[in-house]
Amino acid sequence: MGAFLKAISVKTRIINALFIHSILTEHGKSKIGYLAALAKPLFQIVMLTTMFTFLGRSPAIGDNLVLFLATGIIPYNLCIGLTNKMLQINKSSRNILNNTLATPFDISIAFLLSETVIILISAATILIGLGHFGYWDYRVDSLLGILLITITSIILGYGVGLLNVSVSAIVPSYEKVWKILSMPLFLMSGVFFVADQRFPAEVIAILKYNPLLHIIESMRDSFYRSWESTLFDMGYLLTFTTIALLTGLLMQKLTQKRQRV
Amino acid sequence: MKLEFLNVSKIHNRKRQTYDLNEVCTSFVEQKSVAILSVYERSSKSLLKLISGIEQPTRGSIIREGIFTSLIGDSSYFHREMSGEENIRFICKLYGQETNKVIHEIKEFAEIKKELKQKAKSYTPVLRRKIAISTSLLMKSDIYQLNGGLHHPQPKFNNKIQSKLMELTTQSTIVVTAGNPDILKKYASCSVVIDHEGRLQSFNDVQSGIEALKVLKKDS
Repeated sequence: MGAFLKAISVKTRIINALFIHSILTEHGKSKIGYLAALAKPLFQIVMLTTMFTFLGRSPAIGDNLVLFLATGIIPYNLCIGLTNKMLQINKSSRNILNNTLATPFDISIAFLLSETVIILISAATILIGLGHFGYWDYRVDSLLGILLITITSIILGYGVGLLNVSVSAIVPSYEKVWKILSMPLFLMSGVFFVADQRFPAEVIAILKYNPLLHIIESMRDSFYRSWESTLFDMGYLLTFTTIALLTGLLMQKLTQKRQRV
Repeated sequence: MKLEFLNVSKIHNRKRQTYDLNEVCTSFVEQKSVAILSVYERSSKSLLKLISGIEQPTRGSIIREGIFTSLIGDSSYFHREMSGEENIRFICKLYGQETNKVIHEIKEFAEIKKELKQKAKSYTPVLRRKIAISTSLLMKSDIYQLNGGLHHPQPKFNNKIQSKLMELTTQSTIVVTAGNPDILKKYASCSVVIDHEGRLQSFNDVQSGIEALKVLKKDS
């Protein structure tokens, strides 16, 4: 038991050091690095709101377009933002991996923590800002639901991120392939629409396989008191997330030697 | 400190079945510095990486208790965008050191102060090496790894390095690899020799190891 606790304390120490390193190197390169990372989702929301206002579009749920877009963009960034950021692990951490006792797993956990902290601070700032300016009354349908779906988005993002890191350690050009593959996800995940109001049943039958759609539907379901999702399937989302996480961990174990080279 | 290798094997090439280390059983003792000699350089490198925990064995197990830092003078973990002090803080935190104490000692040992606040990308190779060597020597470790003689272009600093290394030989354990037998004899009191099949043999002094390696190289 003593040895186990000692091992845990060593791991915690290593991950803590890597967490600070990751915060300093990923966003601290320029003076506005942290600000840019925090403002990115806000910028996305402002851009989409401006565009939709010009097009005369109204929100699919509620009467506030900014809040509707925020409840789509925040969970999307938690999942895909984390996954995309994790693709940089191989490049940015090679020297640490090759010359210190840190393992690829330690680095991935440190990346997960640093990115999640930044995205969550950004999300909290946006939501408090929306409340402050009267776009939101600070009330939600289910706080527990929001918490659960936030954790699920992070785990899914981490699992897919691990998978991507492992594949790109074998095929370096995979990073570019993933960027192209993930592009339509923004359009297909219901960030700026509610799927069953917009598409026929045949299209929804295909879109339902996209776990991100379930995440965003669930987030809005827990957020809006006046709306209930007809598409969200917790069983499917949890199964997909568990498989992604386990496959990611397994792939990382199998490719960790390659990640060091 | 405890560092024991129990039937440790490290495969170099799986297809050709070549080994860096083959069924190695050995233990490292406190305050007994060891010279590592090998037919192939990759075997010594592999042993050093296993000691510091950077790599894991293909087979067998390593029992370790203590702090085992990597090669003295290694600066490859330095991040260009971080200051010297931030880089030192990172490596100290990683190896569980008393960060502020180490930074204070580095400032005195290397006679640098404001340079530590500058970003690592602005460092000349000489300054970078100076900081890296100071950090490695001043961090607390149960085993220090030395590859070749540590030389620095500044004579005054070079003298400091040599006396610090001699001090470490009496307080801690140094594992040393070098092509020059004089360096091995200067810092080590015993030796291990790794043959072309990755098998390890221990000797009570450095000279016997050097001679055994000569024979092995002749035979292969």
